[in-house]
Amino acid sequence: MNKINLPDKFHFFLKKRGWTLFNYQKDFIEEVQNNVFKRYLISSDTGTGKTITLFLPLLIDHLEKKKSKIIYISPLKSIISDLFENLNKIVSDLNIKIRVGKRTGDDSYIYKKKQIENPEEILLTTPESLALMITRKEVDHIFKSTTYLAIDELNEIINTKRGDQLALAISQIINVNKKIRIFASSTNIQNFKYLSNWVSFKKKTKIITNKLLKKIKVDILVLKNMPDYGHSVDHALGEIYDIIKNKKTIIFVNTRAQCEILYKNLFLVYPDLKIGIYHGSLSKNIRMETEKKFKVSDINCVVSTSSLEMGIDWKNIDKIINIGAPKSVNKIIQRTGRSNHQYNSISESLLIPTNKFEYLECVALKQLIFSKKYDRILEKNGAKDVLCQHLLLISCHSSFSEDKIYEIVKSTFPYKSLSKEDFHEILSFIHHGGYALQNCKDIKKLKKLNNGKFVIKDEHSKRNILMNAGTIIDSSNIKIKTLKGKVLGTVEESFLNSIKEKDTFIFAGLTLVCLKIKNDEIIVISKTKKSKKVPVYWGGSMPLKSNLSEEILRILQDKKFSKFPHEIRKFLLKQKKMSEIPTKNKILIEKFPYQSGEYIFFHTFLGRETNQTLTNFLIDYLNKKKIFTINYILNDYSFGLFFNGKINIQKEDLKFFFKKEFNNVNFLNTALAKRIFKEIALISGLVLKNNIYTKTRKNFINCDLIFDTLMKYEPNHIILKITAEEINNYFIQSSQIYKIKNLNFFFKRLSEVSEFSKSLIMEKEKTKANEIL
Amino acid sequence: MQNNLKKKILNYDIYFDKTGVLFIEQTKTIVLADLHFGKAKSLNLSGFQIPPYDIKETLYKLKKVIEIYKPSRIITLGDNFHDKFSILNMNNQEIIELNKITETVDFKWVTGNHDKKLFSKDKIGGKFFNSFQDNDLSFKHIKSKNNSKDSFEFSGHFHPKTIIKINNSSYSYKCFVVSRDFCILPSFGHFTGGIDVKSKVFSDIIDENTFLIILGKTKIAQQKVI
Repeated sequence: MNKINLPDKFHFFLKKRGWTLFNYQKDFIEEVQNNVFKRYLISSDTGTGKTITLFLPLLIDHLEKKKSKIIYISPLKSIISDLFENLNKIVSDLNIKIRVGKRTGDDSYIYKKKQIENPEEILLTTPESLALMITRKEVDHIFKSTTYLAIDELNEIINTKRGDQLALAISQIINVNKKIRIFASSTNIQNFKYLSNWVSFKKKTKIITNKLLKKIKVDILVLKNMPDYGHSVDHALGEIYDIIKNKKTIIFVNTRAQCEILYKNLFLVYPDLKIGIYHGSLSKNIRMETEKKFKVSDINCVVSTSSLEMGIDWKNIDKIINIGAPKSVNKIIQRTGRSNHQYNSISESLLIPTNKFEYLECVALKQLIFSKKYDRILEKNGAKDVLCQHLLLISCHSSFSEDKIYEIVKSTFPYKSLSKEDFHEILSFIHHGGYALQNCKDIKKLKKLNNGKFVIKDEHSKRNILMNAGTIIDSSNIKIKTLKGKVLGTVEESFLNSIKEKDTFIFAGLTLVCLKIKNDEIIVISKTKKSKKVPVYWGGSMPLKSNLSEEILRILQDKKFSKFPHEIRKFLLKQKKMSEIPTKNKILIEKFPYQSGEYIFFHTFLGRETNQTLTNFLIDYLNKKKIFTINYILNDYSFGLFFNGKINIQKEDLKFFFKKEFNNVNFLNTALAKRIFKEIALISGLVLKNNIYTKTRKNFINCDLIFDTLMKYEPNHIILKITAEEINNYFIQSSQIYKIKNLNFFFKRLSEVSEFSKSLIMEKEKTKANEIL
Repeated sequence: MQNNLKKKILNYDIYFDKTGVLFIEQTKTIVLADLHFGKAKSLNLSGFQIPPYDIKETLYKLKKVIEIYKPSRIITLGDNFHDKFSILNMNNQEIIELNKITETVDFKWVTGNHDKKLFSKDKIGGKFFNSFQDNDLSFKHIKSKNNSKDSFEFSGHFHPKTIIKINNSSYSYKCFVVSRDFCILPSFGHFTGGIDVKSKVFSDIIDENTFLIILGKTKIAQQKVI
């Protein structure tokens, strides 16, 4: 059915490599050759050759002696170096004269300069580097001569600030080269419409789907001694060992702390294992070393966080093990797809729940995979702080007129409904700060020319803007260094709070002693002595997806829990007898005495973020009623507040809170608002992370203070409006708080701790509810 | 909510106020340090688009304190203006408001390192001093190395703050650093940061007699440093 004309050389090349083209790949080539559409969206499972497909039209062009060029954009830097090598091999096999180039933050200034004079036919880059390219007039000719623009793994960034930044950058490129054709690739998700609209830029998009699904098999390991609480896999070490000792495996965990602990424990119990460790905090050198060792089979198992989910094409992986709760369907499919990364083989993964709640989550996940209910990517409007940065960036390129840029910005999907008034306000903000105070002429970053166009004020402002470009606010900037100066990796600033000199902790699989804490460095020495005291650091925890939490509640509706293994059934039956099982629209609230006081527990199954937000508001609400919470605990499923002595809280009070009080909460008065404001302040250029005047990385002024000042003196300032929008967006994207309005609840007074509450009380460190000073 | 903490120093009753000023009851004097008027404007010029409301907010806070203690004298401990253009850059409204205060009380500006070569000094009321002595109390910008034994010295300059760690998160609070013969005041101006008392700068200053008066959100607490 697919009759396309491919050059003989290409057939020969495929034969030599033992490859056959999928139907979707043939479709794609044919469509591109027909030249009807300017935009294409390819959707296919992981491990079905999406990335290479994006290059096929270009390769065929060159075999047919047509000159074309491609710019390839990947959200992951790690893909690029891998792809660079692969493409070079393919090009030399095909014997065509194409040069492959890359442009990322890691490449040298001199190389990039030469590249502008003599650009390669294939250019691999990231959204961040692309955003910097559009600030330079001398790069325009590269865009003008580019035939194809390819965006890989669009689903990964489409609803993030990086995605907004990319959309804006592409709109500028289209402005320079109207003929450019855009390809995008994505894994299977539920709502393609969003992706195809995003790629369209006011043209029609052709969707090409791979109907052939990759076969995956997901099993759950149930052990009799599965713990009631905690996130340790010590009970399953033996089983893990049996799998990994003679199979090439990747073990995925959810947090970096889990990663370090599991690696260490496996190593202690089974010193004969050849295993490695991989996560985002480790320095590039250490990660590359692990990659190399794995490729040449010096190690045959890697313990990793999400960092290894995408990109690096590690061949011959037999099995994937996933520790803990999966949190999202697409994540597990992605992870499973890492094994047998070839199209016709079955990918296998084993889920190992670390407690009973996680077991339920695993079962729900299996259900969703079985019924092909993938994650939905929720649409969002473009973030306006990213637009602020974009306008600053393009003002470095050349002067622009307000109306023209407004039209260009509106051609992107994220900013399609941006109003003229909002745009004007944003432009005023970056022009002169946008403060109502009259004498703010000194705040100018842009200057307005006589013809009404805007351009960057001076060279100094330009350098500041370029130095601070980017939408990823990286909080991990504390370096872990050995005495000899080797950087092992970086951790979040908050880690400094939990550590002091002479403490031991594990990092990069080593036991380290902290010798000295400098401003942004922890100097360590490696130690062989075993240490029980392990201050761990968190980070990398993922939100529980809404479809998954609904599925958990659905499977709990089974009256007798007959499908579950014995231990789980016992656990659920006991809970049901003592208290109740929550349902989809009815959360469970339990009140019971505990030690010298009382607990109120809320079993919501709405994810950690939602629980955190609810906890904060509830504590505030109760404080106002003179009921003071001592401390609280929370996880993805539940949260509990602890009070001294007996407290008088009735069902009606809580009902009032959820139904009335909660709807009137001003989200700008929360700690979350300050966190989001800080990010917006940095992205929009309100404050500078790097300043050429001071050369320090510290902010001059505490963002919280700026926030409070604005709230007091200019509550209608554009930056506060953006903050309110982003809080809303945050709630929609990563929490399920919008569900609260429609919820009802069971209210149970118990004489003792219920099964559900017990596991959380045992598991977690309690957090003080109020500041002590 | 606690607003101040009373302490006896020499023969004076001194109130340490939660805003970072202190009030000497016997002489009806308010002492405060590091106003840094015009800091926002100065930062605006180097590319920070921060809101230019620092002067307004600092004056607002100052007026509140005056309402409470009704002082007859105010002594500032230097770094009153952030840079030499700060008075020039203040708008009329701000200057009028500031002069209303300097006219109603005996206002003494002790000058600091930021106040050198100030332009348009004459626009502002009050008297300027390098340092000021009132019987056994002395007022300076930077703490002197050897204070004469019979007097107690108030100074500013260092913007002391302290960091308290609870549950893996840290909270920072402005604080007074008090010892037998000196007291370093926290900064009063809006948008003025602070230096942690554990940092090197304070290592020569803090000894076994030193304690902190920490200005919390709801409480004022006294704490030993070592």
